[in-house]
Amino acid sequence: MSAVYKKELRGYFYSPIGYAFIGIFMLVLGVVFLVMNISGSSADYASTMTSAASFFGFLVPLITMRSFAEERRNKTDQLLITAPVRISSVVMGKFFAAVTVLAITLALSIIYPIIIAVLGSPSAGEIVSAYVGFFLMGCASIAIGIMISAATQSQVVAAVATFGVFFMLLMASNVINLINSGFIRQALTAVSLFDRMKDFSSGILGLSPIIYYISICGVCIFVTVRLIERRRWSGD
Amino acid sequence: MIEIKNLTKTYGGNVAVNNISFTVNEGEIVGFLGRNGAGKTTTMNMLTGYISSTGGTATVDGYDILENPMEVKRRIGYLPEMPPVYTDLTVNEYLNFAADLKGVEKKKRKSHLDDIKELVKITDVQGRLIGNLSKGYRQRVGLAQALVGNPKVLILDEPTVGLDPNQIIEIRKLIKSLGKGHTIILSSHILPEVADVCQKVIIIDHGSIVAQDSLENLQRGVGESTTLSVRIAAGENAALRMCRELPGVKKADSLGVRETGSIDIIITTDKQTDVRRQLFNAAARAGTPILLCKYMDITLEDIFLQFTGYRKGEQ
Repeated sequence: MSAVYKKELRGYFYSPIGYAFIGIFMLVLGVVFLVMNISGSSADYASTMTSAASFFGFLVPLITMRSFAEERRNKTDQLLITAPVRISSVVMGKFFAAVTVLAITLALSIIYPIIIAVLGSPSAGEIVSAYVGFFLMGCASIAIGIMISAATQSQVVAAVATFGVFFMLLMASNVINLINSGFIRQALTAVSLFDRMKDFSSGILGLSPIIYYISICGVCIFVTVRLIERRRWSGD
Repeated sequence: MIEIKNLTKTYGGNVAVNNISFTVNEGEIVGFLGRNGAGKTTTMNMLTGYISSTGGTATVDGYDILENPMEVKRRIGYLPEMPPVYTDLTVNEYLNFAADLKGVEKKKRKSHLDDIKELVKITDVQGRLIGNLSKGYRQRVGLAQALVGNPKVLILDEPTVGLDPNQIIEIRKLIKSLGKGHTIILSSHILPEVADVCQKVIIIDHGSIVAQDSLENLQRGVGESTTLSVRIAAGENAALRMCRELPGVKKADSLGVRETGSIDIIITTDKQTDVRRQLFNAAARAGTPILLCKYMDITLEDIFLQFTGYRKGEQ
């Protein structure tokens, strides 16, 4: 796993992708921060994070679209699959490399709450839990993105499909309140990736959303491995 | 070392590889010969674990590819048809990654990789991005990757495709020298290449093995008769008469004068008959020295055409 992890992580920063991801995220978060906290004279940084979370989904394809689609297209997956490593280790290596990029990004964004701390008195608990929530939500988004990338050999298709999935998830969060039917409401709540963030931003580190996000990661990684395995059998 | 039994692969309704069986002994270089799309790559992909078989077994060094894939993969170095190189890495980064994947010990890594780079002659490009290298160099980088970890078995899918004639000769030489320490399966549709490098040939057509044997046996098996070309320092008629009188000669034809004062003759005999000694004695008695005497080789082309053409006619 470490071989793939190291290579992928280096790949992010040898190419502009890692920097673009960090840069765009910092910019978006910075704008939201400026509007909500500075102009709005509010110390509520957790809400800023929640607002930025919906944008985050659209950035994820940047770091996940290449992961397997590119390997397949260039046939470099032949090296990975015929090497004495498990497919699950390859998938985990790629997943954790992307998660590391996310972690670096979040670490850099700590500058914003520090600015608030200088100017006012934010709630440390809320900020910490918002970061935990954001990180977990990000991990789940990355897992979804990697899974989609493993289903195609075109980066563009992977990016567009990931984009589409996150757009629908975002819509699902927004329409929940408009629907009266109990079942549909429940179903939408189950898939609304971004809604769970709200618990965290109110300072609650609940077990259920944590398990929810970790389960999504687990399921997506499992499906990714199966997708690659399946292709070995069907050979298309 | 490698044992394949009834290996089959079907894609949907299409049979890509149909019930093939063969063994490769340790230290052998085996040539896998077939037209494009005959099933060579599919077989290699199954053997390396890149794709799974639909039926049958493949074992390497006693380990089954389905039951013990890790052990098998540890013993195989694979150069696919398209070298699996990352164009955004340098040669050194790429080989280090391959060494990481294959679990080469940190302590031995540097000297191991240096040896390989020396062997495939890529030392001069080791710091360059693979994306900027020519096809020939990429092929060699791919070969270097297959050698990382010093696997017992090398599987090379059309290793010389896309190379220029000089590079082809170099790579063939390299493969021959690697044959001393490795068991090698190489596929090709270039017949002289297989004839040059391999001890054993497996001919595959439409997913089935149509012939497998040593090159000599295959050559002997093809054709009903043996042809001998001789140059005798004598007149045409005398020489022809002498040749036709030899026991076992079916036919002797003149090829005309190729060297002044001599005549070239083609002698056809049964497969089992060897007339060279009698010919020598007869020529000595007549006082007409033999200037040249050689068997007309049956080329791999002949063998290949016979086996693949035969099947085609059968269908």
